[in-house]
Amino acid sequence: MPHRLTRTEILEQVSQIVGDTIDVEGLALQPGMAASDVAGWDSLAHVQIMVAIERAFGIRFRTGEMTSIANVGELVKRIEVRLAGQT
Amino acid sequence: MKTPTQGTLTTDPVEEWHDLRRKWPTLADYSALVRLSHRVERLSATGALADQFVPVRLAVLSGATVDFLLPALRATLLLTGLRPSLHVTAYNQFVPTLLHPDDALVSFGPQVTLVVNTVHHIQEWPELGASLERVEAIVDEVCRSLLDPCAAFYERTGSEIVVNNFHPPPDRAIMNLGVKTPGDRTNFVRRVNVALGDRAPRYVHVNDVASLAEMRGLDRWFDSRYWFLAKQPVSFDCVADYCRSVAAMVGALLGCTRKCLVVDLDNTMWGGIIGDDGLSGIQIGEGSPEGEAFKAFQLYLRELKQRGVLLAVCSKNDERVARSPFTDHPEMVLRLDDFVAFIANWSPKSENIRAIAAELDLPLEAIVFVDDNPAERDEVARTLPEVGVPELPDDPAEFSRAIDSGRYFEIASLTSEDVSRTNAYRSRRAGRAELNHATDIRAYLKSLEMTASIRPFDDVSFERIVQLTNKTNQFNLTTRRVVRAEVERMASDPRWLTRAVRLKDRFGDHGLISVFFGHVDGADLLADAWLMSCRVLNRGVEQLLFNNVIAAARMADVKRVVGYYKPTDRNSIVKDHYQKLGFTRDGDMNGVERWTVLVAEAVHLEPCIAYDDLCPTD
Repeated sequence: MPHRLTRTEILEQVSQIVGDTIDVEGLALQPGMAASDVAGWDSLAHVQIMVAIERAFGIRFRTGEMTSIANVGELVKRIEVRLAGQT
Repeated sequence: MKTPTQGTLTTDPVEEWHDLRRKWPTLADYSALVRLSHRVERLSATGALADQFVPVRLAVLSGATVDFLLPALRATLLLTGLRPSLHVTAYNQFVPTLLHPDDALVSFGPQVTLVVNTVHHIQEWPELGASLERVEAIVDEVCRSLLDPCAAFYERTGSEIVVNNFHPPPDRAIMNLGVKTPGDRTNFVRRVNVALGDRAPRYVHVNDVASLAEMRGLDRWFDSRYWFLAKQPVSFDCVADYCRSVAAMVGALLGCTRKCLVVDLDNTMWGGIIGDDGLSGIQIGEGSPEGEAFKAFQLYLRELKQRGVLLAVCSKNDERVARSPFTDHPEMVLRLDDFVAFIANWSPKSENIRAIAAELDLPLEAIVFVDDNPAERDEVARTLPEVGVPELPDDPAEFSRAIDSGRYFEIASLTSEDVSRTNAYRSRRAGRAELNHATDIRAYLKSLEMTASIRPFDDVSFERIVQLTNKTNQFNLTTRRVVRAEVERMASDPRWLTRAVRLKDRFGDHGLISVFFGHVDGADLLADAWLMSCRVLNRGVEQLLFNNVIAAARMADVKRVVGYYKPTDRNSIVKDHYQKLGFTRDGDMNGVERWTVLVAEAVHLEPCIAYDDLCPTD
């Protein structure tokens, strides 16, 4: 039985992915942060972040939700829902 | 810029570079691709590597979003041996840009222009019930709407142009009946692709997106979500495929293509070990599934040979035993005369490959080595990092795909020299064997019964002139590279003196083997390029060409011929070229040697070549 990722673990991985994409080492995202709060997280970076998250977690977002996620906390929640849906 | 790989590096940049080059053909993960692309970019600027790239001015005319392609494309070009300067134009303006390129683009002077068009740019579609005739009229219109702007652009800039053909739409309402329904969109797109290939003029090169999508599967190739979100033309998983395909095409246009495939024998050409299993024990041909797989692989190699790739054998074997399947096994597809070199001994393969390269006068960069044994591949890859060494799967049924996906042998056109190359190399070796018996070099040269033709550039030769100019690294005084439009311009401009030499001897026709071009500046003729295929080294071709150039210079009232030698790490064989022809060195600039000779004082040389078609004036 594979280990189910906790919300904190997902947040850590998302921070890592966002940091890799926008070239910031040791980036620590907080659930309340929006893309606009993070320097470098522009619309081009956002697409790359979506691609990297889909690949890292093995999930697929819906077309509409990729641009409607309000903040990091909501992104983590969506990932959690997708992961739960797989089992 | 920081990337996660940055801190972990203590390795030699050259070794890391070659490691990246080995990884690249199978890379798919987009995030890794971007990360490694930064690495490639940085390594390419380090001292150990910085000099080895052919510069190319590349315009990118965006139809879709290109931001996600460009870093990977740049990296892939660098790994192909090209250093691109990019000029990227405004989003989705490729048709007006082709028709009316602005001054900035024209003065950028692109050598190659990439048009990133997609199936979404097809403006006119047939209605489902349209007649075949009407569908064909629309096909014609779609092709024209792409090729006419290309023609205008080529006229204006002389740039070679790469366009995409089209993958089919992701859905098909009419299902299988679409096959019999010309107005069905999938059916229509297939017709457009065929017509585009048929009608594309020589300067338009088609990136076969349709076949890339077929190879990967359309579901994987195209992700509608990212098209709607970001107008991304190809799914992120396939960006690497797209870039590899385009980079190989650009490489082919600039001459960065491999020329020779060196193959192992046991378990690469047949199943089993000939020395242990004997003729009746090896697996080749009908009778066993594995034997069929090896036969299919040999058929693939034969196809490579037929399009101009030289084949050579490098095997750890007793030579007599290694040859026996080729002469005595009825199921073998390849025979000894399909190879230009055959080495079977117990020395390290890297040594043998170096010997093969020397024998064929090819640089190591022109060679690809295929061996089922990972230890042999590793030894060659480490010792000779210039050689292309594809990771071979352990199943012969997959060998050919692995070689294909490295895109080592992309070519932009097929010339008659390509088709007959193996024979030309074989006859040259026969000539060399004679040299061993001839004591007097002039007597030997006479015995070759050589005849040459020297002509200004003309349209039947343009293709080969471009190819030879861009591929020749050793006998090449300035390593000047050209695209077709430049060659055409020189041919029609009276200020340019152009010469192409063809050579025959009693062993065969070598085809077009030497190129000269220079331009008149006042009383001087400046020799911009002088190059020759090493196949005909030491035959006296350069003396013959020198006589001809001097004669032409005299006719044109030129007083002095100025030659240049720009040293590279490959062209030292021509360092004394101008001295041998009687030129005097008179000053260097930026590492380029300048040599001059007065036309009135030039000595007429006496090579042992008969003139069968000589043209002293234009």
